Amino acid sequence: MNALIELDDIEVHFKVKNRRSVTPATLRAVDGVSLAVERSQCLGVVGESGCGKSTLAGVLVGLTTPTAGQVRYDGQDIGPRRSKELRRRIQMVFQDPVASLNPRRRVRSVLAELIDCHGLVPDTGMASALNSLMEMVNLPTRVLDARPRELSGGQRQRVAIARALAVQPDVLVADEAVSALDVSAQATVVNLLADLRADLGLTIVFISHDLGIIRTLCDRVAVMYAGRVAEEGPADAIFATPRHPYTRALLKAAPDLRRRAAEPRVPALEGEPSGALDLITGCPFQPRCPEAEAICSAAPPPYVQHGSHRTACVHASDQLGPVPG
Amino acid sequence: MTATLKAGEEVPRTRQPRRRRRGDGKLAVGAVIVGLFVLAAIFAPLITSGHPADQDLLNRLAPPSQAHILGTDQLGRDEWTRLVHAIRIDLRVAALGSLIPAILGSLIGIVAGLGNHWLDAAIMRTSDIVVSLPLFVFFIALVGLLGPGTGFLFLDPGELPLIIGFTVISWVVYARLLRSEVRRVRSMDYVRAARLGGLPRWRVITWHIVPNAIGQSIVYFFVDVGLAVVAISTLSFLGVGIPIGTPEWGSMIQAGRNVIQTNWWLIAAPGAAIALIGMGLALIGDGLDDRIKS
Amino acid sequence: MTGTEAVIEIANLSIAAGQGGVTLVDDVSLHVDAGECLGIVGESGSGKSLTLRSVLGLLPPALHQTRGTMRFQRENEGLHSVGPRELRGRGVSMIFQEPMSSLNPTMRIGDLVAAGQRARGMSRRAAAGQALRLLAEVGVPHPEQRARAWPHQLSGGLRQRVMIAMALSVEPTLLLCDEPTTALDTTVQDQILTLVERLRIERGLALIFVSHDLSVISRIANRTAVMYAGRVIEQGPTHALVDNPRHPYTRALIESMPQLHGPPTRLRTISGSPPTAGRLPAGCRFAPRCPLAADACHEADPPLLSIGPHRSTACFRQTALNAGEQP
Repeated sequence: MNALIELDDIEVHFKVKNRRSVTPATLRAVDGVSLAVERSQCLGVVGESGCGKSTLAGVLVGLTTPTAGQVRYDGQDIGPRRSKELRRRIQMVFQDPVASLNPRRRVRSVLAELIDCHGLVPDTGMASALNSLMEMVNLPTRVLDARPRELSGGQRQRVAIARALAVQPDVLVADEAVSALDVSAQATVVNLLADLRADLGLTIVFISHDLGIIRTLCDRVAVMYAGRVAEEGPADAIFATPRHPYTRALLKAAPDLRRRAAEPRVPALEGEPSGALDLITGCPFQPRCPEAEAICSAAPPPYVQHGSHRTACVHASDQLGPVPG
Repeated sequence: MTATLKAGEEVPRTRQPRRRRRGDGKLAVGAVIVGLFVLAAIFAPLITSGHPADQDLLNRLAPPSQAHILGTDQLGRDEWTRLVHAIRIDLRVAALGSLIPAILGSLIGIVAGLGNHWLDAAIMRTSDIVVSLPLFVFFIALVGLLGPGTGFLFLDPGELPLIIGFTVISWVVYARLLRSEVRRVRSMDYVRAARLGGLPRWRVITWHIVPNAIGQSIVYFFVDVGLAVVAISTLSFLGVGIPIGTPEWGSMIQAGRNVIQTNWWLIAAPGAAIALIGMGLALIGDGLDDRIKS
Repeated sequence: MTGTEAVIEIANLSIAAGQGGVTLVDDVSLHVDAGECLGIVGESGSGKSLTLRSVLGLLPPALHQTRGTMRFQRENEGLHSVGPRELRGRGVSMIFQEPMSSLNPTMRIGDLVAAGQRARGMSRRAAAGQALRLLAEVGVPHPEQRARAWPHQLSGGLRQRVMIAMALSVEPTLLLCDEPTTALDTTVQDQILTLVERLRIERGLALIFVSHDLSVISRIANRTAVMYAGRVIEQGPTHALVDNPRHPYTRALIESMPQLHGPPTRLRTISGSPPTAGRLPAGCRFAPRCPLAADACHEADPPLLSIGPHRSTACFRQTALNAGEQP
């Protein structure tokens, strides 16, 4: 297995001051996450707010320093102080199309400055480099001379993708990159990411709360809950035969245009994700889990491996069929 | 991948006709008022007769007339001439007394906003100390201590101490403003993207952080100049700062105080000048604020 | 269809910015029957939220209603012409997307929920008791304990439940919902949708539910109106509308939504972007982006016409749509 990017037992713990006690509490934003993404693969990371998926994005691109664990790129350990060259390889697209572009700068100067900084293109080729970037993200070259406020949300997000592509990265981390967009703009950006992956061989880590988009775009999916990976595997398996009760609840809770028979009169899952502040000894999902037993609160469940599909649930092994493929 | 342009996609033209923006009206009125004051200061000799110190001893405390539009004061000096020449002093000191702390305070604020925890704490505690001073007492003591001096470069005696006094006090506002703005902008996604793109640190600061953080302090600067005009006049009304005899609005009001019953315009004219310039500057600040926020 | 059953009827509503300014909502007519949920779906700028807010006169300061009448059903009084102010706290309540900004941070939860009845003269004790019952009804766990909490101490889902309890405290017959689940997590959204649905059935509430997400609408609404660039372009029973859209925009909207089940498919994109208010194209507003647009579409704006029981659409190209002409 030659993964392009690997996370090995990543922990991001924050100390937070608590009014009630003298000793600061520990916020376990990410708590022992291991993931691997192969070249040109698209990994979807799905979960609800506070599950640590955005912190994980910060760790991947080097904006957040993990308190423990290792990030490996092409088999090589890359610490938090990455070289300019390593930073370039892993780029990010942010959620908020408004905050993601400098309001005072035209698109052209933002892109040119990045290309310039890495000396990726000779000065004479700058104009054509910028034009081809615009072409890559399906925007007319006129956008180069626009300021962000003159652009729609979808156009801004495509400019943000162009900015990431300007430094010719290998990996693109998209953190809720289409969540703030309207449905039609969302479709455009999702298709664009799919095309970039096919055409440039871009490796994509797509972080989202939207299961439908994850299904459309990704070939592997990691479901996160309370800072841990609850279940990870091929997208087909996760969506067709989810093994973790949380994944099943998420799939049931997500509204779907086509599925409407037997209107559920009870919610798929009660309660809300508990603050990651509390130290939970057992399975982090246990307080909300409809299938929880005594054993679940004893220790965090180990992964049950089934082919390339792993599930952190003690019940997962009960339902194993033959390993597919 | 289809790279064809999509029909109907709205794309901005490179040069859009400039639309009216919010705040344009206030900005225009404010600029006209302040502009008139500045022009009057520059062309003072052309729109007044003689020197502000010229005395017409036969015509003391004369009412407004053809020869003296605003009459004369107790020493027979032309009130209009003094009023216009006072702009030079009041605006010059107020502008410098605001500009220097604005630049200094902004730099300190940027350093605090970007700097490490200890540096930030040190700067902020220093600013706390300045804020906790009894400002007017401190100011009067400082200006008194420095004395009027002999002038400095293009500054007349008495002006430099005022500017120093303003600087010591006013940098705090800019430092705090910039610090919080820099902290806000620093966590914006476009700044993180610039860092990820590998841009050098100074470049990220000067191109992406500072230009988006200074808006509010520019707005405050204009308000501050107005406040400084009021402060200068107040101090010279109290006899601190600008030496007596120099045409200055505060000392003119002070001089006119004794004849308020008979020659009220000797107080009203400089008072109106202070109010008008303050309003003009506030309008500019307000208009800029609207524009930043729109 | 607009029999005596209707709780509210909005006719020919238009909303514009400033005097003689840009029209943002153009000639919208809607009605909601008792115990029914009407969904309004559209992208940002379609006018769906403005339409909803105008019912209670909650338009932003720069906007005002230029045309339109509203009739509201009161007990034993039949449909009456009313102004927006007459409806506030008297038969109509509203819940919003961001509960934190709708909950006064200086009041305890119990007092917030009791405030509506206190203002109508109910005693402190009775109002507090009713508040506890309402908190329990909307599924707030440990209501006695939670009633003493401050808004900032609650999670997003609980805040939304508190806002619903506040809305219910004035015994409304119509509840207006402005994207109340958009800011919530998937499982919490599911809980709130289930709650709203339960309240509709148990209390016989009429609902207008606005969302940008057709899948949320399809879950909650009996009938759906699709808005585009300030107009209602299609209306009908939700399931019929989703299964057989009669307007090219509705169809494109459905096809551009990712599917949760079945093999992944490439999303349909709608070329271009919605027109900006004030720069509307001639003829049908969707024509420049429409794969089925014919000459007629660029000349006249198609009216919203009935095409069957409870269904209407504003499209000239019915034959082309029927023929299943794929773009």
